[in-house]
Amino acid sequence: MVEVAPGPKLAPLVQHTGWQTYHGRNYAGALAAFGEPGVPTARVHAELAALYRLTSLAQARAILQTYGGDQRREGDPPEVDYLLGVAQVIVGELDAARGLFGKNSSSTIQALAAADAAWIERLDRPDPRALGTDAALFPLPPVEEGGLPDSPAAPHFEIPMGDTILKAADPTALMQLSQWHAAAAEKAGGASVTSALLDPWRWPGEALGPVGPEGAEAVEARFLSGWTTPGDVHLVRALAGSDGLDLEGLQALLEELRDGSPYAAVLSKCVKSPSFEAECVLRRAADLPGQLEEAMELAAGSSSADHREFAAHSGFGALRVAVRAAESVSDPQMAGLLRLNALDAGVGPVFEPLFAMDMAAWDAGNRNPHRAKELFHGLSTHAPGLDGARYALDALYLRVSRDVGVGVPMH
Amino acid sequence: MKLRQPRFRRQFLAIALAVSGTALLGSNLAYYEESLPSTLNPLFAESMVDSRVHELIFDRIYYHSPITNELTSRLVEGWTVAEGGKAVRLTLKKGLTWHDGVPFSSADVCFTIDAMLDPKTPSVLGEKQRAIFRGCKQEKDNVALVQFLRIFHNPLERLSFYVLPAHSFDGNTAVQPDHEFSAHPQGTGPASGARGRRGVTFTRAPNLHHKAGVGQMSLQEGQDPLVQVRTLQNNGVQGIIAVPPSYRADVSASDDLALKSYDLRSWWFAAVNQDKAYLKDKRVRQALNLLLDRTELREKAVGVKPNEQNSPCEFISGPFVQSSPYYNRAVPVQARSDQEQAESLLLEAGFTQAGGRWHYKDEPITLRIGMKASLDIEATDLLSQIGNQLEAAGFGRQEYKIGVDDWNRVVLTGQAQEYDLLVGKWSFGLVEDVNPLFHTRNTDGAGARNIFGFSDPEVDALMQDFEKARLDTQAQDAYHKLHARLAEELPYLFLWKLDTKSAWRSNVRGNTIAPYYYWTEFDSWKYKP
Repeated sequence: MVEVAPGPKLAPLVQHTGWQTYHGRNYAGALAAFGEPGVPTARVHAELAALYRLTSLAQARAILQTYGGDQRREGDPPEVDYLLGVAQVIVGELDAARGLFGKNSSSTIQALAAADAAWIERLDRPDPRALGTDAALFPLPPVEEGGLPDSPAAPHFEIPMGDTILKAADPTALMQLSQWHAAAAEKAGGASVTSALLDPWRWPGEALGPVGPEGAEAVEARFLSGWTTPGDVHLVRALAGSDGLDLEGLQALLEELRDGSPYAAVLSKCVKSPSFEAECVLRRAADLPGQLEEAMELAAGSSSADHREFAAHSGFGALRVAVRAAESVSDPQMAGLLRLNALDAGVGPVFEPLFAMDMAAWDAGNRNPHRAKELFHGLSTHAPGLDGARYALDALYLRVSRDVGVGVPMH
Repeated sequence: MKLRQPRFRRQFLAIALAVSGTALLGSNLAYYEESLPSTLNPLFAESMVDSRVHELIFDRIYYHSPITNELTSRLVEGWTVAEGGKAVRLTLKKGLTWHDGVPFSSADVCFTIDAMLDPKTPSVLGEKQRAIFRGCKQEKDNVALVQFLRIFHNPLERLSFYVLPAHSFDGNTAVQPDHEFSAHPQGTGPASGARGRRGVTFTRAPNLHHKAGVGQMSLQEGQDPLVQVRTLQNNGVQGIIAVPPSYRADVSASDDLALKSYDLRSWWFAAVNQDKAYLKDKRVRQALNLLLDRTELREKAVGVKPNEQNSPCEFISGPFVQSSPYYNRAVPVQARSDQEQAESLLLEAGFTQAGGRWHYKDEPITLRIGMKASLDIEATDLLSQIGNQLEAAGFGRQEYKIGVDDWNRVVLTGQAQEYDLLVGKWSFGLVEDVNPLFHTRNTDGAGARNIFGFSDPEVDALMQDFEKARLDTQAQDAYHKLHARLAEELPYLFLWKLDTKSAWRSNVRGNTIAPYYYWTEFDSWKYKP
């Protein structure tokens, strides 16, 4: 971030129509403006790949919370087993998925029976989630940099349920769109850049991609984002692949990366085994934008209104990484607390759709459809096909709100 | 008639008063609420202010953690299913006390359920609970058997009501709103509360299950939003529950203040009095709906620019927010006015125009428009803006701001027939039950919040369908149809949903805000002046 503070470096970026449209998360406009292969185009595709992944995760978790385990209700149609199967695939529970596919091979809903059969076949592959260009059910155009394909409009299935219809969208459609954009990002900017940008947002248990030294080096990989340096990207990748750390392990990781990552430096001051202090993180994250703004002013030789806005990303970014750190040491209470603070910090010019959708997925997994639905509603038109996840989130919302039972309007 | 003081003078005086008043408060935490609570008895909560205050004074048996959403309890140690699933046996924690020192026991749990079930308790909430609970038996001092009318899948979810102290009512389960408990309650919550004329003071009430980090906190009634924000900036108060969108940038720009999300589903409306002869014809109501330019209203009153991205204010076409699964997306919103279509409808309905004014049966129509006064904080001058638009379209107008007490006493009880339009806001938690708003009022308690006595057999039937729905999809279908019907009949002109954001000074730490209830994690709040 500091590296682009001087005017001659900053001006070409802030004056570029591509970054201006990207700033408003007009993905189609940004892809059109960037126009040619390169890191900026890869950045947009990688972000879309992540957005589709996170949306499919929200969808999957909503399906599991609605129909999975002991939440299944009398009257739920047998076809929900198919939806549960795909949901289990997305959350990485392939054995559970195997037990669910095949139950609907004779469903009267032919599209669903066909989708069920396709998944049975995919489960025999080394990585069933790697759909590649396997788009038999939801056809997509060939992968092309700058493209923004849609998939068949949801609902994909209309399942009879009593005297009503259960409308459902197949999460496979979003999985395919995610992988289409990941492939487009690779074509535009290479595997290393794509992995660096996509790895923080992969499905649970999904292997990280290959990242060479050039992964997040290009400033276009981080401009207008919560990553202040390539080191921050390495930190969040390391955390994404480090579930089950203890505090000593986290401390060691942060010490190792602190020279290249301001976030590692901030967090390392707050992890003192046996404790990881939320208040410390919140205080230091709040201080970071001011420190960064000073550094930008020093590097540029003068202050700029843009510096303040760019620096604001760091306060939010630090909290977002701290969430990952708390999750990596299995501290859901602290991770949740930090998430709520990150949500409050990530508004206005620093609003990031990926974090908001990640939050929606987290809420869906916590059986909290209220905020999940609100966050999703604000994002559902950001890219074609996202809106399909609405059906699963609606189903969870209805189930949870009807369980609560009693409420009276208040003025 | 009172002479109006110039706006800047009023604001200056109010700021001066607020800041000087604060000096008397010492280092206590203080915050601005939309208004004062109308009751401290949770059975009779009418407003969100009431609901928030009750969360400080009382405990719900079960509640959701605002952080992890885990369903948990501060009162219950363990539970088992009983009576084949139609009851749960709760084992309460020992050693908990009411604020007056009386031990908390299962008698209190059973008293609360009995009070809700008692038909002589005139509580809308109690009325709803009568469809859930069958009764309660005190098996031991710390064991209560809570009985349901049927088997529920997640029965603990039904136990999110506040527990009342049996001893405060001498065991009389016919609880009345004017009982002194409503002003001087005993709770088991993190703070005791005492309402004065100008505010409510909360004092930490240590207990085995609560150790609040704030010793004393005072609720003050918010007035002009500019005054509120300036007083917050000057540390005259430390928090504001609802910051209007137009002031949020000011708050965000300060390093000493932080905006906090408050997850609440609120939508705004203008209810239409169909008992008035000139408003009976639905074409007239449809015309009024078309005359309102919501985009302009939103811009002028809420400060949202046209085409603003991620707007905190989103138009609605029915009684749900757009993100709700009950919202019928096939019913379009009316973002802009359509004068031509409105005129055509008015003429069809028998209205005539003379001298630029609309007449009905040769009488010029003057609309009496009321608005809950505290809404002026969130949407400044909304009442005047609506009046301006209707006047420009050819209606006379008279405007009235209605205080909370009158809103509760007159408007909610269906006695505000002198008004033609009433502008208000409804807020919901997870349950978006709108039946009390639109069902025909009857002696069984249905339509308890039906402002103008709207009555439509088709609407009543749809709400019955919703209540009887066995499947989620049936409930959704019923409310989709209800949305469409209400958008046609227009007992309300539906305006928008508006996000709620709070502002707190940065030295108020640990201030997690719970969806809807706000103060659920009050124990963790800390303030270092």
